[in-house]
Amino acid sequence: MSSRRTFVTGIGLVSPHGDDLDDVFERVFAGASAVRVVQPDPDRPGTMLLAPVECDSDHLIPKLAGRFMARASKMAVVAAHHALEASDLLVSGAGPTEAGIYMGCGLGGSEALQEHYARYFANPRKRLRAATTPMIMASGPASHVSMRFGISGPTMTCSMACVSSAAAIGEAFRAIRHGYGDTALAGGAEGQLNTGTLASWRERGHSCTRGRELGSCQRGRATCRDRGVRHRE
Amino acid sequence: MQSYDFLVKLLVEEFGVSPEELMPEATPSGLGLYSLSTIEMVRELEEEFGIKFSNEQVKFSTLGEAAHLADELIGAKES
Repeated sequence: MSSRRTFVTGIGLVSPHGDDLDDVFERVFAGASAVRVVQPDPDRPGTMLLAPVECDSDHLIPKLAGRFMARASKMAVVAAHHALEASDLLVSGAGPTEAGIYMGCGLGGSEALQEHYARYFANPRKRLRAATTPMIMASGPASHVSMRFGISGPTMTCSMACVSSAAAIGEAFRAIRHGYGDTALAGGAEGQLNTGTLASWRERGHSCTRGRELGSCQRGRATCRDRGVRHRE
Repeated sequence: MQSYDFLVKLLVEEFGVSPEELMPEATPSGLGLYSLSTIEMVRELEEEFGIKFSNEQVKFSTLGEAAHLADELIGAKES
């Protein structure tokens, strides 16, 4: 099969350094760190080294739509907006209809899962929100990007832990290279900065190397010495 | 009437619908509510007043009709 050349025409992101591409690249190449000490659960002692993302999506996502979107999906929509804009592919708020969407996502709406289930289990008279299931799915970011921008080509989610986004970008590259499509929006989104998920990561000793110096991580010490730093989100 | 007032408050505060758009003749789709958001609106109504819409009753056309049905269900429950 003949292969075609493939080009990246635009990049959009939502990151711990912000969502302005030039600013982010400048900070990254200057070696600036967005990692800081965070107390994940105000009701429990202990801190972690994290690089939290401050994502303001209100200007792009109306409150009604946002009510049904997990944080990861909101970040995906904002990043996709920037990418489409940078590629000159955003016309009257819509993207290219025939484009494919290849999105990586590990958990998706874990904060929605925590919030909705906590409310449900705490009060037997409360009902679970009807939107809970679609909100927590890993396919949420790809689905919301598709709906928000009217992109209805092949829409795929790769969920393979830390390589999810890399796999998604690879699939998009392969699809274009081998002629399955001309345009693709590829990337990934995740939003796991909620107390339940972080409690689990903390127990595994991730997310903290310099925790010792900062006194932020008790159980992670041995793991940190062996594995080096791994920052979440 | 208590149902209508509740719906207005819910839609403005929780769903982000503009108060100017809210009138008894307003349709769910006209307000930007699709199937899932309409279901959630009904569930909130049911939870607030301890009532239950039947599958047929969920097919209301307007906000006023939804409130009227809810008021009837509340009345039937209290009588």
